[in-house]
Amino acid sequence: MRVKPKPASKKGFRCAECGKGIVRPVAAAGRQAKYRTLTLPVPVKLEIPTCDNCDTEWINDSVARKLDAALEKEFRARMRDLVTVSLAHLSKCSISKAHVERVLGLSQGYLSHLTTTGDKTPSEALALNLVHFAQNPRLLRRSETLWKRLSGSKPEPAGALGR
Amino acid sequence: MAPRKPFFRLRDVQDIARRKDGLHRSRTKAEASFSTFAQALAAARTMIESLTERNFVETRQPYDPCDVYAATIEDRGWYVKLTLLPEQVILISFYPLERPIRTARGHEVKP
Repeated sequence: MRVKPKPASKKGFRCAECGKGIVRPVAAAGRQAKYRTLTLPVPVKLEIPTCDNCDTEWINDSVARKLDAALEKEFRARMRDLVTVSLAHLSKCSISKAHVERVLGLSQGYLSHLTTTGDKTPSEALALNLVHFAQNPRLLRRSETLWKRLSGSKPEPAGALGR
Repeated sequence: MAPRKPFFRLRDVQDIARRKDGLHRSRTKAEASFSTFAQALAAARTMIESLTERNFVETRQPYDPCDVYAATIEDRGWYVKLTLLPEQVILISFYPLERPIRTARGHEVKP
């Protein structure tokens, strides 16, 4: 829900989208923006130049930098939570982080680092793999089988697909 | 007959777009094709920097005048529409062409 926008008293420009409204920095609640693969809430206090007629939001360098930083922080937290929950679930199935790291070809300690320090953003690909493993731990065994089939002098990539 | 010229001098457009906060583009259009907003602005700047008058298609005036360009970037045709304010370039459209378009100099740019 859009609540009482607060236009800042900065000089605006005519909106090139509708040709009617004036574009000025606006801070408002209820805004969302797409960031990588997620749609995330935009911080209430973050001012985005917005048309007072058609609501088109216009991005420049300063706004992009603030918006990217805010969304990256939220994105990282959500991906980290997903990774943490998935690893906890795998742990209940007696599957250790070290085991997962070996199967995914990650450095030993990488998953611990991801979940304990907040300085890295887990990729969507990694988070998705962990979710799939947590939902179906047999996929982890199958992945190990796949690596074995691709090893040796005569690998069988087609066989690895299980067809 | 001499080919049509852009309403806004391209060099002015490029000079202003290079400046910090000199380029604006709509948030929804930016997020549709790029992972981050900084990437969306960087791609727009690279495209504007690469334009020449050969890419100019026409000037339209729905409200304020805006220049339309068609450019090929990495084997793909792009539609570009922009307008110029005293200190800002407003990038109204920047998306892959859906059909061929002919520039003012008669070159066909394909999708």
